[in-house]
Amino acid sequence: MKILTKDWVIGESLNFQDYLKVGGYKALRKVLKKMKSTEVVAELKKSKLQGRGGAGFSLGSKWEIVATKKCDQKYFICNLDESEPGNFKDKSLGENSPHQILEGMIIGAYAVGASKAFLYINGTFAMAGQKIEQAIEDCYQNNLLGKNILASKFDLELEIFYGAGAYICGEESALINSLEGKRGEPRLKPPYPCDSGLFRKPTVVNNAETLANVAWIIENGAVEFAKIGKPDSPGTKLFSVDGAVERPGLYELTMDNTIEQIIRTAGGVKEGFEIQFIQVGGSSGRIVPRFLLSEIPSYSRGAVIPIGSGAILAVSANEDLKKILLSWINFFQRESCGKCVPCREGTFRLKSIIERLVSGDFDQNDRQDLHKLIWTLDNTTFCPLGKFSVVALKDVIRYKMIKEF
Amino acid sequence: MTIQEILLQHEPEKKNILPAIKAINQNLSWVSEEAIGKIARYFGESEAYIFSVASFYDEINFNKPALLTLEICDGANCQIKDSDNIIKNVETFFKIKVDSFNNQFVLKRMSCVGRCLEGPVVKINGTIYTKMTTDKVIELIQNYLGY
Repeated sequence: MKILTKDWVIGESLNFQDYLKVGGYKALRKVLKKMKSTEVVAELKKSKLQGRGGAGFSLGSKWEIVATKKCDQKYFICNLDESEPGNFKDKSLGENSPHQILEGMIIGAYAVGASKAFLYINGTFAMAGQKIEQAIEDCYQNNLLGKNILASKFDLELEIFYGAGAYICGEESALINSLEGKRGEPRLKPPYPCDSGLFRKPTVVNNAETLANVAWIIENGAVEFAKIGKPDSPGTKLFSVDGAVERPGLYELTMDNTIEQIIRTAGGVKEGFEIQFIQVGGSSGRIVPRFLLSEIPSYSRGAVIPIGSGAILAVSANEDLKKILLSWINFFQRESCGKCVPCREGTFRLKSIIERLVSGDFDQNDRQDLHKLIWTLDNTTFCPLGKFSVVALKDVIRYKMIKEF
Repeated sequence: MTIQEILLQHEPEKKNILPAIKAINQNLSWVSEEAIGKIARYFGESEAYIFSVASFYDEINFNKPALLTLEICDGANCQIKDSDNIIKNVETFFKIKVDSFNNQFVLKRMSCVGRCLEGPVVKINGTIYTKMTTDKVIELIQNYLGY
């Protein structure tokens, strides 16, 4: 069962004509001609579609909050600032099928009553950016963007905005600050962007993969969508599978597959290798030891393995876990924005401790400091980045994977 | 293009501050103190404000770029494809250290650019190269430096 990648041709991008041929923009026509904005929101809410960026918040609920706000100006933002290490799903989506994202954005903007939309893209995605810019131009030329879209009296301006290399700008309030021409630091919540977002106006921020599902749901119905996958975590998910598997790549699977099945889809474990652990969700993702491979990663509340952004990294027994630990903490130390002390200093200290672990100078004091630092980063940082920096490390300790800890 | 010409391509609205800084960085390879001053005047902000925004983002350079800037991805995916050893080997071969400043050759670690399947990934003066090995990287560097 495929929703997002069903029409993809390997190595080719679906341009405007290709997208029309496979039924593109039919959902948008249906929405603009036959549906009230409240009906669109209700349909999406019924589908239980959850945010694919990692947090898994209900898309319908988000739209509902903004749609019910009475305000002269609302904004709609698509978040394509994918920079979680090991993730390439949104980038592939932008390269292979940019119109799928745009159609979701236009429907969303109509549903919540936004007249201005932005697509915030990671500055290093040159190819995806080029495809999306072309797609936006095609939409303007074919009256799918601009004034009076398809004679429905609905106006929408859509702009692409390039990031400049900051992981934290994937967080919605940091992304909004970056769009406003400020430092891309996260804001204190509440107020949430739904109440006070871009230029203090109600704003929807949705991940690109989430939006790519919208057209399918409108066309086939929320009931059909809710039947796919798990009841409390429905639909399909793009998995960026890499590491010690036979065929690393991007795979779309329904959300009722176990980690073992996902690995099998990617050709199984590479011959001659043995799995040490699987990391689900990039550098900020949980570690799955071998005895948990039969778990189903999902967005369900209390899931043993949260699916996160859907990156799957199979690490073989030949790899030195200490060095991978250092790679994670190097990343978070570099990307910590410096706004709050626990994260700025905490990641820095953690890095020097892990460096000593790698060089064999780890001692009793380091061990004590390590546990204090983990607690601090987990509980006291301003935004989730601090918390993310120790997710995998906590699992390493929980499963006793390094004897020094 | 001059700084002023680049600025004039952007409406003086707040949301165009970052695009303007990026455009200057791309066209002139770095953002000088002079540029910061001009951007500040153009957008009606203080120089401190513009510098605080620009310095937040990894892509923006504030030093005249070295002859060669080599960035190597150290994400877990590239790491298990040996990027760590490439960093070490480049360090020993060219007798430099990660993050040390030198007007000839700068070596940095870089965050994931989403090309994990083709790892290890390196960036030389802004151009991405994939499926790298130590030998290939050294050869590329020597070509760039004209050895």
